[in-house]
Amino acid sequence: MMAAASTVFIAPPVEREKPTGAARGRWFGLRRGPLPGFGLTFGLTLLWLGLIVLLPLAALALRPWTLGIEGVFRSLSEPRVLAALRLSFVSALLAAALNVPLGLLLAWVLVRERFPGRRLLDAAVDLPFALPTAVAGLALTALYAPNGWLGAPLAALGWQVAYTPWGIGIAMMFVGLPFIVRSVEPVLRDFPRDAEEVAATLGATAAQTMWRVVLPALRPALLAGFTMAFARAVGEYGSIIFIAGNRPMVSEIAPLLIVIRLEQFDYAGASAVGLAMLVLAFAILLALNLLQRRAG
Amino acid sequence: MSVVVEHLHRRFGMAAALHDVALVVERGEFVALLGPSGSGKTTLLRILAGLDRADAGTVRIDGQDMTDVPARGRRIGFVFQHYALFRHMSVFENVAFGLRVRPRPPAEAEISRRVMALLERVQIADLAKRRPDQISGGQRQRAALARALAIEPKLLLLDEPFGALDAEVRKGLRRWLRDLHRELGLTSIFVTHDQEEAMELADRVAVMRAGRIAQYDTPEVLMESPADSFIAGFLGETSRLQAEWDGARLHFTASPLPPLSAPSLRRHPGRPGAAWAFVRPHDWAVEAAGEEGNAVLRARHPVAQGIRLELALGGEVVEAELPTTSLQPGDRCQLRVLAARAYEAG
Repeated sequence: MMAAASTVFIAPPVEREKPTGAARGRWFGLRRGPLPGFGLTFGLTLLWLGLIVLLPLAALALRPWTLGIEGVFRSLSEPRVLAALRLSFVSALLAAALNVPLGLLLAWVLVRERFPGRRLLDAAVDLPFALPTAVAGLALTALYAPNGWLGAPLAALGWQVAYTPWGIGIAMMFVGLPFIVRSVEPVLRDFPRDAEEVAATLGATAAQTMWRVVLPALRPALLAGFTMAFARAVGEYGSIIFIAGNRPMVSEIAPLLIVIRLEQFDYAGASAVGLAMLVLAFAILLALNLLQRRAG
Repeated sequence: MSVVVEHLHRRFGMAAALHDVALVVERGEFVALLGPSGSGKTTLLRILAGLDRADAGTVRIDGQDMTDVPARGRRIGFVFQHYALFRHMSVFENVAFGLRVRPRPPAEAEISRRVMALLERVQIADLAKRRPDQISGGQRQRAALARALAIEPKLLLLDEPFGALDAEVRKGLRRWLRDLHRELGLTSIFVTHDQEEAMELADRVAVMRAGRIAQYDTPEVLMESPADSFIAGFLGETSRLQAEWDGARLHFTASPLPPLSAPSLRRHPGRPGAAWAFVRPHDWAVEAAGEEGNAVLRARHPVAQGIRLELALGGEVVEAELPTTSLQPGDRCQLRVLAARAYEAG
């Protein structure tokens, strides 16, 4: 390398640095990490996952078939069920999507700006995590009811929020926001300032820097936050039922429908709706995960 | 492409990062800003690029006052110490960035042609499709340079361009960068704390200390006549000894050495009093001696031109270089200063 460097004056050799992987054994064709105990930890993980997640889900997946295949489809194709499923999933997706720009803005302010009360705001972001959802639901309802602080002026404009799908969306955004903020925040904090500066020296405007440099770097975190916010919103129950008004076909969410069926001792019908939610949610989460993998 | 800096001041809180800095860089020059960390060299570079603002003073480029020109309007290439490559983009896209963000970007074929020409130029054309984390440090440095050159800069600024590279890569890249600078007819300013690097690459070196430019000269002048004791100590591998100047002779006050008369001094203080003497490794005479010798050899190791000796002299350790010697560690010897530079202490 020295000899080459001195003979080829303008062209020092193109150096290649390859990580030299330590010799590692293989176990069932899996690459083993440097720490021992793979068998034990993997076994415990499977057992745990089986008991806590898979077993209840399997029960849920099996229960509705006591109605027979036809019974399940009849139970699910009721207009009221279809309306509730559509309402739940569409509002959850919309709420999560609206939360993305809002959460990004909030994370940006928390990471990049220094202002009095920043720590308070930072702590407040987590409140939707900590608050009992029923409390949040009551507070939101009081606020957006036609005689509430926000509900009254909005009602005067002809826009009723509480007891309509709008209210559902607001409750879903409330519970989902922290997921976006908390997933974007660490990535933004680690994002090197000099990448923005170099973009400026190359002639980029602030908007071009944001669009071409910052946002692509945050995309995996935004997608992860979106996924979690969506998952939370779709399963949310407590904070929504107070503000939703729960009118069948209009503002009745799928989880509420499950509870209603349970109260009527229609266990198989309840688990049929549960299964439908499970399948839909799993399909959407899987798709989002694949997207994440491609983005990351 | 000339740069004229006058009366530049910059404070960060209470600390002055730059104090009354003046600098003139002529068209085509390669200038080094050399100094210890915290001396303000990177701050000066950032102000030139428009990434930081001066509190007072002016920067003129080709006669134009740059105070109100934002970084993106300056067309100054800036290479960051850690390259600041866009991690989510390929090497090709990194280099193309400066072309794509233009108000009227060139056609895709033209972008491709120019990016590939630049990558050829910096010899990483085969890595165009790689991501920055898939290439080595030296290759990243080249990619960052190609990206900066893509905007056809009037001025190229480099912050510690070789700081993050290992010694061998660094040496090769240094020569390559100097040749590139000449071939492209660039005007370049780079920041370094490595004096060898500054001396090897630069046409002129600005030595910075505590926010001021202590001396701005060619490497030859800097090495031959450092302006003050800080620069004399910072440049070259010198040993620093306490001394006293009486107007005719330099007495070493803390070391058992015979005094030096004026002709042996390459420089002497203006007025009598406490002084610092700087002695380069070649300027020592070392002779084997018995028990009466004034120094003890602590260690020896071979260097390119001979043997480097580490000697205990009184309470101090000094370094000397000889073409050859039979002295072994632990041996006593007699040390004499052949030549030195002396500056007023303080």
